[in-house]
Amino acid sequence: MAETLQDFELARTERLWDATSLWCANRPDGGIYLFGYHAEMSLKLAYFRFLGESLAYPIDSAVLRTAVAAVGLLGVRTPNDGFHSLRFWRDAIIAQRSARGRALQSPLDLEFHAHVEALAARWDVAMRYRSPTATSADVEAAASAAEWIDRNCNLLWT
Amino acid sequence: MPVEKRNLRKSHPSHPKMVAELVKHLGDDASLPPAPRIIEEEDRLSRSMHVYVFWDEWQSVPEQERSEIILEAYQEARGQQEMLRITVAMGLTPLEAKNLGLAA
Repeated sequence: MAETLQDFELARTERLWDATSLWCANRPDGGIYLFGYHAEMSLKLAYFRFLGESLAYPIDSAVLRTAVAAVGLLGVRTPNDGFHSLRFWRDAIIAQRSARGRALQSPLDLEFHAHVEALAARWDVAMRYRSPTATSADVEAAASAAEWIDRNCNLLWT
Repeated sequence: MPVEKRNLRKSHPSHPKMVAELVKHLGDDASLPPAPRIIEEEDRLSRSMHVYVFWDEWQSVPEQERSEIILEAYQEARGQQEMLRITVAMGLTPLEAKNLGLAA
């Protein structure tokens, strides 16, 4: 059964708390993985909410494929990495908003770009299987980026 | 020696032809054959649209490219804003549609 946007909303909050717990427990690799997971859920949620979908909306592979095809026609060439790429979902949100005449305003757009970049540079979905050894600076940067995304998630789709 | 450039992903050879065929079917020409069959479902609240295209021609086309072909056709036939309303663009052979319970 496909997950709904409501599942994404609940999961992202849970994973943010889990990530913070791992960070506090001196488990930086696990912390960064979950900060990234939280960001992925948040960006997908923002993308589909911006399209007007309700929280009950199911997200399956057909929906994700359509999103990739639609933003491709808007000029987004960012690899989606099996629909997991944070950069892809950031660029998809930016492209959809611009195409509908509702581009993000400064400084929100610049901060959005920078925080996703900071997290994407340290996170990869493959970290669930293997992770590099993160420094304390890495986990702090990932936490700061995830916190920004969490705090501004609603602004990305309203 | 000149550099040889290769695309990482090649389009299906029938891609342009299929887009053109769908564009024709999105018009109001009643004399066209019944296939491809295009189903539109509209959510009046969100104004988003689900589009299902049942067509034997999809057989050898990867799933991602099926969605791309449908959206390209809508963009060409009805414009970008209409294309952007589509949140599900699914191309299915009649057998796939039947197996998924989508073909009425």
